[in-house]
Amino acid sequence: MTAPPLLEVADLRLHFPLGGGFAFGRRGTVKAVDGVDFRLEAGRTLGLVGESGCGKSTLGRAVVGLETPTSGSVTLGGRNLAARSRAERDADRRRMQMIFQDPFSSLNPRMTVGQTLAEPIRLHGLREGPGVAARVRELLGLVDLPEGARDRYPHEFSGGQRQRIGIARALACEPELVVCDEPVSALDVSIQAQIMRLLKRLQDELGVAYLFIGHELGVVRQVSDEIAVMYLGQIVERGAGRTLFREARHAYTRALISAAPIPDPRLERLRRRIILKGDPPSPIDPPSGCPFAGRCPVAIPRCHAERPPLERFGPDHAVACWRAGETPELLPILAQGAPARDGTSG
Amino acid sequence: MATETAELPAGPAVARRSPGRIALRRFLRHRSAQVGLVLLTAWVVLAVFAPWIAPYEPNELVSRARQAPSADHWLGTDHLGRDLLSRVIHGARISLVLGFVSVIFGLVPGATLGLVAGYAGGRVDAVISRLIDAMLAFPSIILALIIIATLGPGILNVMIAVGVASVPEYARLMRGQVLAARTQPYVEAAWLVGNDPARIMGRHIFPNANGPLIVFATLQVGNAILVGAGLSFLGLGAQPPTAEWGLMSAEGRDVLARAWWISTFPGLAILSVVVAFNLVGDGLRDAVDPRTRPA
Amino acid sequence: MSALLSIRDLEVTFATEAGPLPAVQGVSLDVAPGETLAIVGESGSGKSVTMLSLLGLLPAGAARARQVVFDGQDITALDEARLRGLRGREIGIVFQDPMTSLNPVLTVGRQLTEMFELHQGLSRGAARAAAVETLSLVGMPSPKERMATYPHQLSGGMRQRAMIAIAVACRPKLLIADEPTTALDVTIQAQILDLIARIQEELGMGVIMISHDLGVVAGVADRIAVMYAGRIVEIGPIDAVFDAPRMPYTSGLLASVPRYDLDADMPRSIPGTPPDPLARPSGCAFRPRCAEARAACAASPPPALRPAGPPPHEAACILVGEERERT
Ligand SMILES: Nc1ncnc2c1ncn2[C@@H]1O[C@H](COP(=O)(O)OP(=O)(O)OP(=O)(O)O)[C@@H](O)[C@H]1O
Ligand SMILES: Nc1ncnc2c1ncn2[C@@H]1O[C@H](COP(=O)(O)OP(=O)(O)OP(=O)(O)O)[C@@H](O)[C@H]1O
Ligand SMILES: [Mg+2]
Ligand SMILES: [Mg+2]
Repeated sequence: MTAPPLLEVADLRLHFPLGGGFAFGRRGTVKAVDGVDFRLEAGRTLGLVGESGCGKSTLGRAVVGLETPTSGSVTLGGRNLAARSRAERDADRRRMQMIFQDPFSSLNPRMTVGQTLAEPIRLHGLREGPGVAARVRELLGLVDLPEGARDRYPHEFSGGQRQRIGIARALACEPELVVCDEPVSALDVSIQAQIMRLLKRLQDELGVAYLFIGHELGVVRQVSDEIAVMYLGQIVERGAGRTLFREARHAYTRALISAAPIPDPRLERLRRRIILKGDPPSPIDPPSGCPFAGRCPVAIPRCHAERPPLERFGPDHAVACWRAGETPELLPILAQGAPARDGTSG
Repeated sequence: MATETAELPAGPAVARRSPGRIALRRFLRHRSAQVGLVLLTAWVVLAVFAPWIAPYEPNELVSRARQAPSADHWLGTDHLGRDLLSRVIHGARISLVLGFVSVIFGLVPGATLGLVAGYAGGRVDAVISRLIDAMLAFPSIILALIIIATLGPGILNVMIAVGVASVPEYARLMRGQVLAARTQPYVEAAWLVGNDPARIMGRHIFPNANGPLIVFATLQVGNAILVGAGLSFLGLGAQPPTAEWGLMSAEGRDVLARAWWISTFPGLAILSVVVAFNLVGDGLRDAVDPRTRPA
Repeated sequence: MSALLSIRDLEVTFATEAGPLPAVQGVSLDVAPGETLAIVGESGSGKSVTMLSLLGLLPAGAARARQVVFDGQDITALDEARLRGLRGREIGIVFQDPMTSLNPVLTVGRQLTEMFELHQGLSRGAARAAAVETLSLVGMPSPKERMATYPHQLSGGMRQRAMIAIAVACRPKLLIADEPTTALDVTIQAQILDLIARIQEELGMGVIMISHDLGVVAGVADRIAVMYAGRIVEIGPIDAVFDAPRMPYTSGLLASVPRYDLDADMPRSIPGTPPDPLARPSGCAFRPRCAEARAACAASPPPALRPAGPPPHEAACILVGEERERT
């Protein structure tokens, strides 16, 4: 028997009842996450991309326990988190941490950096006495902050530096899994790269696994071993990080790629955008067929009627699209004759 | 290794200061807060050293009744012939104690209720909120009168009444602050790193939610002094011969035309203390929330 | 060819509690009719302030320039009323967050007809017809019905369309778009960028596109200006700047964008953070983060850029001079 994966999410659903109801005549449910399965091995990174509101954050929050799933299971190291005693759950909380998008609201403004970092160490008894201070110094070193940062307050730091503090706080718990919810989206480009490199180095040194949520394809591509594309609460395509964006077969993924700008003016002029009709549909009572059918340029009647299952399409690649076999011809991304540019830039 | 070292922001603009210290500095630089503080300090000094500062005992019969202000009796004498200046000075003790104690009677249970309601949510919140709403339906002065009517007159009962009557205000304020703070990512992070609810409330939510509460409590001290004096004026609070400002004003009520000073000076004392607390409260509000500060 | 907009030596200094804050220092640039100039730079580099200063939307006394000429008129000499007329009629503006610039209590239709009534003196009926036409120009589905909707009833993408409709209603000669797609999803972003390009072609406007996204810029711009710490540090034709950046900051910025289309390594990063505008280093502001900095960089500010005329590709960096000497 093989060892269970670090994290296994099975048929996870998270529906928010729509309260109030006075604004709109009828109440409904927001199906923020609607039947998601995936597994993540120790020390690996699963990237999660998708449009705003497709349920990425909700999924990440359900994994770490900030939201209670409507149904389905989250299993950490082979143990189902929902089925266990409160004490055990509290102990497992330490093993999964989170890094937040907004570097400004994710640190307690009234606590010094040292206090913020020492808190989890003390709470979990990870070090004793002078060991706590030593560990705080070590954590600051890990995220490349000077020792003097310990006695300062969050408002004295820039966005990128705060994000480092947030990372150090997560690491203070010595987690096996860190959910990174758009950790670089609020940062300037030059700082983004710093944080991405830092996350990568920490993974190499400490062996943590990441569930990396993002909406910029380039960022997700660079940090992820595997990438899942979400649309309206469902995973519509999944593949190896190195190849997914080259070999995408779901119509939505292809549209997403074609729309994502590339910082290369010559290449940009050769590209053909797949312009989608309309706006993303609302996750309030989503359609019953393929969630993308309403905006899909190549939808067929079957797409509206039947929800396509996430099926294997070659090694390390799974697609939930009835037309997965034809999309590369139906929806070309680069114009004819464009150089297929692989390898490093010159 | 570590090619991505980050520099700390340099320059004089960022000295090592906690948010609380920054607010304090802003407070001390605030003009109206300075005026209020000076006034308040004067009253506190008078109250603390009353026996040494006041020329006479508060209940000592020093002269004929209803003497107009003079060199011997700066504020005159009251209807029994007691020195009004001495009584006003001693009265500061009662009023200040009444103000602070009744605020504590309101603040502690109110903030606790609000904290618990806001953090626990669900049924606990529903019950507490209902209770708060029910109490808020009465003007607090009516509430205070009902409590006094139940407990009977007396200065301690006034403090309880005024305090309890303000509990719903504190609770509502605290609950709102907690609701806003609760969904902040740093509170969620605090839960993730292993804090229990008590620590989350005490260490992560309360310190970031107490600013408006402190401001309100400060303003409320002045208000409590005013209401307490009012109750004493009506005969529901301090009883003769206590040197209490509200009571003293009442004692001069019948002779206002002939001896205006008996009511007027205690009234001015009340006014100045209340104004002092309001000025300080305003300064605190601007210091805690700089957005409201005029440019 | 004469420029549509020509700025010389723009300086913007804000009086703040902590002292004067130099937000923009010595910015000069030209925009030709029909051309798209992109301004890129990190947060706080002065992109928005540069544009706001043109429109008279900054606190009095903050902005000064040697010369700002728009379509033959000297803007610095205009009074408030004339400037307001220019804004909206000759210069259209699109901001990042449409909710802050659309009036929440007026319908989209009313805000559009207002533009026509105010700036072109059209009658009610004619203004209405023009408004419907403008809405269909920006690709608003069922434009007639949308006239009666309020901004909050629209999705983010539709709101941005409405914003663009108002901006281009009077067929301006220049459109200033300040991060028009930053708040939008990429698929919607693509729609909006396409829309702006189409309208530009149709109306022949000049466009100033402010963005921090080099990908967006690569797709839309003819020329690019890179700002750092209040100055333009490099300016030139888009291909030239992307192919052969001359200023280490520009090359660092280009190298730090992660690519999804290449099997490249992790993006390189620029160490450190942009300087506090209240305490910028002497000489070149990028010096503390620059791998190629030398003693001379601290001594004096980098050479000023010649904004117009040949050579079209310029960088404010002493390396450029050295390079020229070598070749
Ligand atoms: N507490 C909640 N109550 C009701 N609806 C919610 C709640 N949290 C999230 N939602 C809804 O669930 C859907 C998914 O939200 P989520 O935040 O997970 O999206 P996301 O993919 O992270 O988007 P973004 O890229 O904007 O962060 C959205 O429609 C959102 O409005
Ligand atoms: N009204 C103002 N008063 C004082 N300082 C200001 C004002 N407006 C802008 N600034 C400062 O001027 C500098 C430049 O700001 P600007 O908004 O132009 O940056 P930007 O390049 O547009 O950044 P972003 O990408 O964040 O929009 C910043 O340091 C900013 O804090
Ligand atoms: Mg999210
Ligand atoms: Mg800006």
